[in-house]
Amino acid sequence: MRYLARALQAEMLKARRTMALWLALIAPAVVIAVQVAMIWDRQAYYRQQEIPRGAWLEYGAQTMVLWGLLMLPLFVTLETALVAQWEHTSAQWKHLFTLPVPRGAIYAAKQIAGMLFIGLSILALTTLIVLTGLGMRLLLPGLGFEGAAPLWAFAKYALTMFLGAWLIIAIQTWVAQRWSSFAVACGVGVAMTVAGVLVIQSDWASYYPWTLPVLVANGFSDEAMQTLSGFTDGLPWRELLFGVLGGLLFAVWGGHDVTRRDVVC
Amino acid sequence: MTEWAISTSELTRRFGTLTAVDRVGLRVPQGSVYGFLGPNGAGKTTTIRLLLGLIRAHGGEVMLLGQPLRRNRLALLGQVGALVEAPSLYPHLTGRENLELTRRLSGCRRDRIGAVLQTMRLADAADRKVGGYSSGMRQRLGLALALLCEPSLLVLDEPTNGLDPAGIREMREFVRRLPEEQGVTVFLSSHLLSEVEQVATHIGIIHHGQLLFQGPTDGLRAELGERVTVAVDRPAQALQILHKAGWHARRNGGEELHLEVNSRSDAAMLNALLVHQGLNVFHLSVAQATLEDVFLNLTQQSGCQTDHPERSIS
Repeated sequence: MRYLARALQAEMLKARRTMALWLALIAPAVVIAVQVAMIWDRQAYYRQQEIPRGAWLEYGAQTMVLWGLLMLPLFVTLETALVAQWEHTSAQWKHLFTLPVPRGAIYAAKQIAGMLFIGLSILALTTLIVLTGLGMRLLLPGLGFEGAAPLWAFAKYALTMFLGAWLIIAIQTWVAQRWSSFAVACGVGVAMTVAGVLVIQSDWASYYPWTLPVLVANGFSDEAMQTLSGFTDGLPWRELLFGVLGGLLFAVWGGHDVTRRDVVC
Repeated sequence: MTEWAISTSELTRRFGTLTAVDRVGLRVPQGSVYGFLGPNGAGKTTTIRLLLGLIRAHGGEVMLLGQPLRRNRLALLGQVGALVEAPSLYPHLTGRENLELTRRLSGCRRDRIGAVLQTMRLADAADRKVGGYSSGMRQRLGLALALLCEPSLLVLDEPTNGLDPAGIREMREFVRRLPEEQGVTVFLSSHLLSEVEQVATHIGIIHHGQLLFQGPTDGLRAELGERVTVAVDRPAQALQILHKAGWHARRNGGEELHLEVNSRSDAAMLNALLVHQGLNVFHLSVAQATLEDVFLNLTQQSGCQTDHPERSIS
């Protein structure tokens, strides 16, 4: 644990003056901006007050689905590639692996750093959903945001979406560390995300890592229509377990694979 | 205290069908500056990577400071500072932050950062981003990283790369003082023969993955005797005559031939040989053999083709 703590501190230091932290705020802000623009455009629909699940849940569910299906997998791709490029671009492996720190601790710190950035982005998304909802209550009265924001439901599903993303974080971390090319890491992530848009409509979606976050988000939509609080039948436990356990197992395997390789560059 | 800072036995590494390091047995004495020489592709960097555990050996063993690397990797790496090829630096961080990062990972004392910045004359630039550093400053920062945790053994791969002549001289003086002032053993590879010649107390010559020679630099020169330079009107024919007579002569491409002799009477003998064969000898000089002669002699005997047999071996 001492070595892991050291390696994590080092990762946080490396993040200074990089886009890694900013992207964790910019990516959710882009999704929120798109959603607010759509509500602005569809004010008449919202003003009818006939939205089955209410304005807050409609807004939250749509935002989370858009985030989970497209932006989150792309963001995972970008963040993990960025974190890996800190080492690849300046041939850092030959320095890091000659320091008195287990190689596994260095890999684990990178995996955890990636998870922290993704977690931060989901937290930012949830916070922005609430803040922009409150903003619309003030600036566009009558859209249905007058009621209390379902904070508990938002928080629970933000957390479950984060857990569902562990497997793609682990896969993309491995790809980005294993191959030094930024194009390889991005190419894999983008291709798999695009394929996910097709896979989501098939029975295989529950077993496809890149659709796990959006399946959790879909669970949110279903549940939201039934109740404003608490987990119900809508929570996709299978996908969550696949995401979490699969993520942990893949991270262990990825760490083993990357750290036993020869450092020749 | 063990006698050897580095010792390897039968160290072997292959890349496909190529044997990059072939049963190498290094013996680097404690407190020495060991110059590791060889042409490009000879196996220098591969050997260094094996010594640091960056790549796995296909045979043999590495002992650092008297302990096997395989079983004591972390403890030993804590006593080793390394600069392998170009320095590994994060350009978006300052010099001080780069040092702090390595310090955190290594767990060494915070006050060492100020000390190595001072030693490497980087104190004034410490809070500037490394992306704006000159190549010489980067090289000095790379060395500062290697020295950060007060290593007992310093492994430097081409440490003068990117340095201007003043920087090279400064680095040379610094490396020369390290064993005496800080008790550090230095293992350095360089493509500059003159650099190694001026700082090394011991040298090792590697070629085609095989260690051709290692030992004290002075002893090697004494063993080699003197070097003769002969200028003749038909150098190609002279080369043939000398080879037939058993001399290891070599030609630089011009009219001059170079070869090592044991005594001045040998020089007179080969002059007579060439004249007797009808060649015109218009220059003959005898001088103390240099490290370059050692290197060329050994590598040419083992079939090496060097393009530029001047001071550089690359």
